[in-house]
Amino acid sequence: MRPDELERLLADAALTPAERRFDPGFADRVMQRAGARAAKPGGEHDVLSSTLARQARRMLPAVAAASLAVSAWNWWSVRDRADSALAAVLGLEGVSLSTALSSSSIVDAEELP
Amino acid sequence: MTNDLPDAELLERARRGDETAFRRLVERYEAVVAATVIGMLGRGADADDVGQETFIRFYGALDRFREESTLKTYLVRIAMNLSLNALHRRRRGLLRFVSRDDPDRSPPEPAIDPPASTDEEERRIVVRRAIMGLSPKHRAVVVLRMLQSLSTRETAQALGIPEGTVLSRLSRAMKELESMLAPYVRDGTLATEDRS
Repeated sequence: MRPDELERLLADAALTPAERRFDPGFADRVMQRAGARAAKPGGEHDVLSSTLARQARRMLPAVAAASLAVSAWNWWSVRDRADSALAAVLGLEGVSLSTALSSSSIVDAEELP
Repeated sequence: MTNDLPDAELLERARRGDETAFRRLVERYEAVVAATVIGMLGRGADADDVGQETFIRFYGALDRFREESTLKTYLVRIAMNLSLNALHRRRRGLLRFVSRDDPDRSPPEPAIDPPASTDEEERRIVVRRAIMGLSPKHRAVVVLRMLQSLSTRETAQALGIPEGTVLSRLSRAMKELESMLAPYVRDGTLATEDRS
């Protein structure tokens, strides 16, 4: 079978304009269903949840960019003093006895004898 | 009164809560949605249900539709996604009744046409049954590109896939159809001589 013959068979098999219809009263059924869904209390919930989801999707790139910026700043600030790369990204400085007892760590403490 | 209004005006009115405008859009695009849904599922109660659901989803998304794609492509996309979901559900439901001893056996698709009364109708039925025998992905491309005559670009937009994927799926689908229809060509049911 040549490709053009197959294409012609497919063109002949396409739905005729009369067949491209749902059962009579289709628009009525759609409008009825749309009205019922809008009147349903859950309908408002659907709208609220879809709105929240849409807002969250919209904000996601900004939140991701801000998180990256904060992580980069943390890493840059404490990379020499952190115990690991993860700790540096989280901004956690390594703690040792000397840093714990350094004057910058102890605020309003009485001087040791 | 709303019959001659362009889509954009009807959309704007529908967004403001004008039910008549939305109804006019339903009537205007029923044929497009029906061609997609019936092409994918065959005629029946679930096709009508998917058709209704297509417009209900559209109704819920009126504010979000930004006319970056045409309304036709947008509705076809919703209709196609819902049809594929329905096919998946239908297949899952039918598989419960198919023997587990024969895992490769596919459940039968529902009949889509009444018995043929003329040769032309018989040819049409044979070809439609062959289309229904394709996998949903291949069927979707054939229905949109070959039966609804959407462009490759529109088909790609409606299916959310690249144009290259449309072409490769179409090529494979046509090969499958050719082999499915070959016996009917041999026994003369499908005359392939030039009928023009």
